Amino acid sequence: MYITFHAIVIYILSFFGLFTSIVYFLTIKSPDKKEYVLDDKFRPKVSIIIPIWNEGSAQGGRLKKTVDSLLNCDYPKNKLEIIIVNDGSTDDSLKLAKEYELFGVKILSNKVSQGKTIAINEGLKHATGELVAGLDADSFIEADVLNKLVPCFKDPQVMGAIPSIKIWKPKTFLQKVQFHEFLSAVFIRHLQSELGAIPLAPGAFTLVRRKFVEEHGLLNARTMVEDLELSLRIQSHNYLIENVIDANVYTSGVVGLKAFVNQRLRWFYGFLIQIKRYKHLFSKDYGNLGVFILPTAVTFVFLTIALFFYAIIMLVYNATHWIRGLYLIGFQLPNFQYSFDLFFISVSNTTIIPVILVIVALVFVYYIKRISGEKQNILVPFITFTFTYWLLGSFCWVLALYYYIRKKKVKWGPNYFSS
Amino acid sequence: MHRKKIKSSRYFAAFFLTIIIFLVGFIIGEYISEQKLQLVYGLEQDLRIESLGNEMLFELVTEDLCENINLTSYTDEVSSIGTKLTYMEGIYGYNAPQVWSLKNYYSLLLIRHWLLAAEAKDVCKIEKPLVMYFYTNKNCVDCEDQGLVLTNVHRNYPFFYIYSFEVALDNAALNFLREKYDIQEHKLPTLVIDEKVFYGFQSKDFLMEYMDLERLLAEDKKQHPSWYS
Repeated sequence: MYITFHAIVIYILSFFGLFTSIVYFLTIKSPDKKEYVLDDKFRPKVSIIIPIWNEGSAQGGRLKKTVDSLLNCDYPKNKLEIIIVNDGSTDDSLKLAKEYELFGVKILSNKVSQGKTIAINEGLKHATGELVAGLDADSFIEADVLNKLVPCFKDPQVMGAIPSIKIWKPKTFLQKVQFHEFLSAVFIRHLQSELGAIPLAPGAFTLVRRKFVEEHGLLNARTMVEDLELSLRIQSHNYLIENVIDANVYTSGVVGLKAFVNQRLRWFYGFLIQIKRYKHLFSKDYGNLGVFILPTAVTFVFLTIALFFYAIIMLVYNATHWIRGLYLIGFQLPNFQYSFDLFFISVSNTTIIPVILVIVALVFVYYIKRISGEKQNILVPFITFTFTYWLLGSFCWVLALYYYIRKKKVKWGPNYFSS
Repeated sequence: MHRKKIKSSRYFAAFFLTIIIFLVGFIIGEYISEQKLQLVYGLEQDLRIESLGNEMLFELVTEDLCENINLTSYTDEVSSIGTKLTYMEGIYGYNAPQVWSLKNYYSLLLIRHWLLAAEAKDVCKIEKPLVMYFYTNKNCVDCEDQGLVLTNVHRNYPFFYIYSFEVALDNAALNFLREKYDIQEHKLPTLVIDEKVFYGFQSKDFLMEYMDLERLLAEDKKQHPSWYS
């Protein structure tokens, strides 16, 4: 059989893609999935911490939307504690926040900004709820979120519960890219939760048992991905993190390309550091997380980076080849006359397997739409944005790996939103 | 702390399903490629009959041969098979025996066409050049370039014939031509234009000038205005 390097690349990627997809397919409709039912007798107190930094009137009332969504939620008011931590804002944030004291909201304030993680930790120290969560000032919740998340904690092994985080009314192209990125993450987390192996509980409104942070430490302020660190810490004690797909929390997504790249650079760089730190999780002692989720995540990262370089090399090679060809024929434009012949439709090993993979991806898109309850048509935009995301995301992974190898410091600015 | 369950059976099932999908993909791919080779083989057989017909025409028609002989449709079919074989070589690889035997047979058909065209050129006093192009698809960048230039020149001046021969093929007729024109691997690509041999890459400008293609094109347009409309 004739095997080129190109074919080997396609086979490796396809094998990895098919294998992980099939595992996930077999996981959808898992008979082992626990169902958590809302129980009026089980209403533990919940503390929500909102760290703010310059969220004053110039931000157009974002903070109001965030706090109002909490005040208007269906959870019993006497069981809900809201804490706003003003992290050294230089605008009128504190004044705006203080208006909520009338509604029982607690206000804490640092004179000098020390960063979001320290602000949340400050809130955690004052929190009295059995369950705690952070909520960014650019995010808000649907009224029933707590009622859907809280029942998970009836199981004492559950230390965290994640809602579905979605981008609210995406307007710019980049926000639409993030919309699909977040939607895919919702789906993947849903599958990971069926395997009982969620490696990352995002910071936005993941409910955590306060007992865990009291016993095992607050958020790690020295890492740039405190949510990933906390999740891996929960996993390293072999506790459970649950995912509730129909509990919706909305965030706005970053606006500029620089902010988009910076945010992912922070996530990806942080991922590489934490994976190294928690390498002991790559073990059968940690169930599906150790034998499947983490190994495939790392493989995915390295395949993404390899594919990025391979695509660039191929692009440069083909472009050079094409220009050289044009030069030889005196830059005469190619003839676009084309007669259709079925013979030249490429049906070979290197095309059939990727086609199967594309079909699998389309079925996944169908599932994403179905289980996430999205009303709009997502198929065509999904393909467009997935491609854009692949390009941008791969670039960020390459950059993150470069920073990691060179041990460079990542400057990400105030990581206040959608982290 | 409790130890979490690993769903081993799910991973084994996924692994075997992936292997099965790969195998099915391979089998379908191989089957379709095989069918395509069969198709090329069938085309070559059809061509053989047409080629024989043309040869007999030379024997039968003693008068007005130049008006009766028509190599156009034959040439189109030869060229179509050539393109398909190049495509199949891309799928199976340079050394694939399945493609190799078809290429060998194809080279014989080309030589037969060349003989017919040379005879027609001689008898009918045709001025259009006959070009033989010797190349190899193995490690020859100049051959790749020469192929590109020849394709482009032929596209602009479609009235003359080009016969391309892979030198690594082995048959008596081709061996004879190789010896006759002293074709050697280090001299590739080699062009034989109406018995004159050129070793190494020849540029588009040189070919156009040497074969006087602009003048021939103008004449051909006068003779066959309908072909160019």
